[in-house]
Amino acid sequence: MTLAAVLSGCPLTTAHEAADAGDETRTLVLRARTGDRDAFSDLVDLHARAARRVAAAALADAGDADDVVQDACLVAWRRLHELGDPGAFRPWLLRIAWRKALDRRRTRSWVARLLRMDVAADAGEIADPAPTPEHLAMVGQLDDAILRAVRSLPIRYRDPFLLAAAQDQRYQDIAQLLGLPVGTVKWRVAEARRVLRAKLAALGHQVRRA
Amino acid sequence: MPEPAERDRDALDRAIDRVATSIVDAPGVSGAGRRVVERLPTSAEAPWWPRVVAGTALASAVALLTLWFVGPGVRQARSPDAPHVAESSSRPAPASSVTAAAVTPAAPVPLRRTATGRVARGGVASSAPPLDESEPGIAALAAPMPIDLVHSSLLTTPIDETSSLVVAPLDIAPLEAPGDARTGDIHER
Repeated sequence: MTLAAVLSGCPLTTAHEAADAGDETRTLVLRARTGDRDAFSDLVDLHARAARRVAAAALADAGDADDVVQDACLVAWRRLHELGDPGAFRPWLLRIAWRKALDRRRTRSWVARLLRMDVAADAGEIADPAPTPEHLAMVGQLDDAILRAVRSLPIRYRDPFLLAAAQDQRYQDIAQLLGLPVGTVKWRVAEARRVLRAKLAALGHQVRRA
Repeated sequence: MPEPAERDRDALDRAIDRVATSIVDAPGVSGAGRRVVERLPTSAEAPWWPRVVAGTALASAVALLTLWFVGPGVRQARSPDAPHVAESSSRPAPASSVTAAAVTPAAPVPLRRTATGRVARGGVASSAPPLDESEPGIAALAAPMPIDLVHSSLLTTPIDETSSLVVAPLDIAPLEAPGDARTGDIHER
């Protein structure tokens, strides 16, 4: 499944696969509610990847995403009895992970301000860390320029853009997570892409037709 | 469904997609469930609120017992009927009203000569005979000096201007102002 398919709103899995995953999730949630730790472990294994992508999208960095997912799963364990529909565990966990990631992003922004780093505080942007030599060698100059451009996007564009890039979320899911209309999410993703093209063009990376 | 124009992506768009995906999708999530379960609180671990309730109750009990035993004593000590409070005013006396009688001891402590020959007031009596307080110097030492006397003597003793410690005012001629002192005009040299 390509990002283009995700951006178009196509479901990532077939209806049959989704139903199977939903049934399995529901069963595991019911078992975990009785204190079954193995069931909760399986539940986390089933949805940790999506939660990690959501956290990484909020942080624009996969480095701290694992910690965010761990915190989110601990909260989910404590509040599992508050979940009304066991089948809705996945969006519920993703919302917890998203909020936890936003908390961490806020803390990181405060720390950056305290350290007087170059932070676009008004836009809520996170400072783009300087790339390491290994990173530069790995992804190349263009990829590094793209990485920096993505991280310097305004939050209102970057969040939906990276959530869409996570390939686990449809526009409806992203809109629900961000509390925005679906049309607004679509427009912001397209706008993020336009801003990225403009930034990269300003850096000398012209659009080349394939 | 994606439009044909959207499918026709250029190389830059593909690179953007690749980098964006790499930001949010990094390997290393296997075993996440096991790691989370290891951090879950054990069932034997007591919840936090009984500890808070117990601590609060214990602190309240200690405070009540303290008030129960110490409170009456404090109230009695502060009441105007208390004997030591009745003798003196509840407010401290101003410094000017301190009299010599209030400061002077009731009975002068006799002077004695210590074993090393020094003159001391009170203390353990040595084998040396008591001093003869009829002598002028000894009598002056033995007699307690009232505070009033000390105070007044300091104020009334004239300053000896011939003493080397008294510095005479310097006779410094005023500098000539570069301008007219009456008008305040300043003339540049």
